[in-house]
Amino acid sequence: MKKSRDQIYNELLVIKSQQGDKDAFNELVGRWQKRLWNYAYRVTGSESAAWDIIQESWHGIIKGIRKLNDAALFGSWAFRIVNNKCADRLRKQRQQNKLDDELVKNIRDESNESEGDGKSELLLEAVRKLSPERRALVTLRYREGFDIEQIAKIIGVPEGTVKSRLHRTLNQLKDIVERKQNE
Amino acid sequence: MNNLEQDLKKVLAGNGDFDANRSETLRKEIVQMWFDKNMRKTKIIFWIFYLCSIGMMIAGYIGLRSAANTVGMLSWVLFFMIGFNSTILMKLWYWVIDTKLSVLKEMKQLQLQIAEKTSREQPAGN
Repeated sequence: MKKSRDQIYNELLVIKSQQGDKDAFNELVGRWQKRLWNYAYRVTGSESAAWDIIQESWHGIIKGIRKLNDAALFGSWAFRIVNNKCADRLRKQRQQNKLDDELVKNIRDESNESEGDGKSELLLEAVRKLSPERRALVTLRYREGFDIEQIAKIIGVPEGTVKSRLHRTLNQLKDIVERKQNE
Repeated sequence: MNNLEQDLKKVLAGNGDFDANRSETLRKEIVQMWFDKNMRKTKIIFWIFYLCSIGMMIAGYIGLRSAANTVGMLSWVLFFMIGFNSTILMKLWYWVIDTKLSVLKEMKQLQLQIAEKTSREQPAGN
């Protein structure tokens, strides 16, 4: 598959960063920060948690970037780090039973801001009702555009499991939207 | 791709409330503090090991000169050789990594030039 100019440039930045080039790393952070933050935000449902996760993830990226053998894998590797940090965070939050309150608050906040047709809103609400693991799956597939193989590497499960979970999630979303429409 | 999947793509395209100022502050912190610190730490570790290896070589040489018997001499030679081989291996390791990254960088720069040239030429060809 032919790589785009953007992909090649990204790989060049990764290699330069591995050599210790500060400017290249600065540009790399600028390119990926928003995407990684958005992913963390979609999964955790909390802005402050997303910022904390991003901060911790960049720590991990700096520590491990020299060990990355293929610069082309930087994207999925960085998402895997963020995904692991999100999972840790959610585990801690579940233990503290704070997750639900925060999620409800954020859903309310976002509902006030969001505009658009009713169907989109229903779908967005349905996505928010999914479990964090399923939201992560949907975000990686439909927002970040990763393929099944890449998602499997990011979340650390076999490809078949990703396919079946994705299938179940889509069915669940369809059910939630239909139920809401009938109400 | 069915309708639901297309709708999902549209719905998830939003960016939430991404705070650009906070992002910029964090970016500066990440690059100036953590990245620099990490790179410096690696260099310091390298130099500590390198100086230790050279120290072993010097100690081995001095020990060899002052050894009274064959067993003592052999022990100091062994000590010297460990230090000597460590410096060689460290230089070799550094050279291999550095060369690999330099070659990869050159390749990527070449690929980038080709991609840029192709994208410039494509509109003219159409």
